[in-house]
Amino acid sequence: MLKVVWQRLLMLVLVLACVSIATFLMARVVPGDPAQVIAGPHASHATVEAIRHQLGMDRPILVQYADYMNGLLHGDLGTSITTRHPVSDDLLAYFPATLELVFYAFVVALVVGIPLAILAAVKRNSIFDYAARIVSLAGLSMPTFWFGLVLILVLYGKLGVLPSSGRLSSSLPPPPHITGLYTVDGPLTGYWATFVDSVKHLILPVVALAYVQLAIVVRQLRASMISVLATDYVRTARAAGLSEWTVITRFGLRNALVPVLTIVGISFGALLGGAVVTETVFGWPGMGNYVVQSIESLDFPAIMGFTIVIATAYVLINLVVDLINIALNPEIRRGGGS
Amino acid sequence: MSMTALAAGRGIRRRSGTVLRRLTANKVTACALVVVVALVIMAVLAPLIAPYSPTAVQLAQRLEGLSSAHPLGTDEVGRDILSRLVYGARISIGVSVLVVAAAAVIGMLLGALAGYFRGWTDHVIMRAVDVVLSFPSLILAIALAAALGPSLVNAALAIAIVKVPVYARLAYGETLRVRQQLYVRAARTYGIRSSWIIRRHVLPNIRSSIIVQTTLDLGDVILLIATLGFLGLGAQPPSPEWGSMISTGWHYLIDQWWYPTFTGLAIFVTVMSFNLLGDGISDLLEPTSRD
Repeated sequence: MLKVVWQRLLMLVLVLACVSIATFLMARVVPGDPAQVIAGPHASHATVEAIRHQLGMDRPILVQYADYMNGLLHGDLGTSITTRHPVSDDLLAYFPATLELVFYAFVVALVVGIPLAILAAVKRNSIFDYAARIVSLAGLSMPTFWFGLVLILVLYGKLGVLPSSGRLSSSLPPPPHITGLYTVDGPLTGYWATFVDSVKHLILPVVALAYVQLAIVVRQLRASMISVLATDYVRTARAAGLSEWTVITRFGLRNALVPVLTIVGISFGALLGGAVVTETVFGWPGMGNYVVQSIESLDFPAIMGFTIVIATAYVLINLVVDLINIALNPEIRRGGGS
Repeated sequence: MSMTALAAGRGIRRRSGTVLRRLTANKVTACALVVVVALVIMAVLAPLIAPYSPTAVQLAQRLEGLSSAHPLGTDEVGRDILSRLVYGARISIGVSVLVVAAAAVIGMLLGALAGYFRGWTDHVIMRAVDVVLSFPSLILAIALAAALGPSLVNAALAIAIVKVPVYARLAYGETLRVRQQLYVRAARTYGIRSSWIIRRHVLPNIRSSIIVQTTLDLGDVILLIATLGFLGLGAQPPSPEWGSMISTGWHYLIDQWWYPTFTGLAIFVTVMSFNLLGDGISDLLEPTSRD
């Protein structure tokens, strides 16, 4: 088992190195001339050259990459062109808002999605099954940004029951900073009004974001559960007179769990991508909103800093999923990996 | 050889007749097929169907509500929204078909080469595939489109790059399987050129799973194009691309709700029809792949 883990970790280092090359190329090579972008369209040739020298872009490309990589290893993602702050500081400042949004969306998607999928698989062609199929089909077909807009239109515009943008009403002060998550810091510091307000602000963006992942989880888990329930060992267990509950939990769910974990890991990517769009629609002051603003000003250090942070997070999450799968699956644990 | 090819060709034609019949046997798939065909006809015949030009500005009639003259109202400069949606179908469907076709062909070739030759070809291609797949797809599409510069062509290119690895991985797995078949091993023993074996034995045998994947991907690509358009990274105004229409339309959400709502509905219905049709085709061609 240890050998498999080492193999995965080695692979991780390799992939992250390649990810850094990819972002480096996207930041420095693809977009024509970043120096020109920084200098603006009317800058003189001398200014552009000066900026290019200042950025170190007149040096050989390999030296530039080594420099970039060295910075990355020390947590240096470059300096944002618009905010003039280190990109890492900017991202860190916006991180708690994104974490709060993504975490609750993740929880909602799993808490709603897993039972719905199991119910659909167990009671096939029942009302639950049709509901699950429609819910997942609609979720996979709906643009996240549009779903967010419809939620705003109905629950804010027509009914006026929930706020449409931001993390807090402007009349309320944010709670003292402990974790940066208002729903945690509020209760910890006794800012109850802030807590309630932040929960209200969370509902719509969380629902909009959770729906994408919910759709993926329901579709995949339903299919995986159905195929497990059709296996011989489940039929044998039923024939042996085990209760339906035991069959579903002990035989069905336990075996459907491995693919589900993998799906959860992979669908986390949809969640991270969806967060960018959701934050834009709901004016949520997170990393996604930051990157969309950076796109408008062609702020490449900011865009690529964000990209590499998200890619790293995604790779790490899928590594954790892989490791859990290895721990759960005796075949992989003993057999040296597949 | 020509006799076998002829027989195989006849087999395919005979099968395609029953495929359509079996496809439409499922009512949901049949409906999806009708909607998709209608959308494609609408896209092709846009100039005949759209009541107005998609870019004709009429400031006197800006942000009008639903009426018989403008069934879906007008936008912020008085352009007819229905006409823009009809023309928008051209962009969404046309570009997504091109993107998926390009990604499928390139991915299939890369995967087949990696799987057939193994060795360093395999390592280089499949590690590159791993790297692309280690980004969340939308995030990578955003980064690439931003790096290339905001335009519809660049957005399409970015999405194609994001999609290639999906096909490469699929083709790779299938090629590894085909490679072990007796007829391929026999051909190699006879010293037949690799390029011939790949063209005549490998590619035709991995084609069907690639086709299934393309039908499942079309809807997703339409969504990606719309999302990049919404973020300002895709088609630029005054192009009637659906995503970019919503990116201006959502400022009028509360007072002119129909503007972003119907535009989004167009995306939703289109993507859903493509997804349902894709599911139907995939059930039919690869019954084991899904339930």
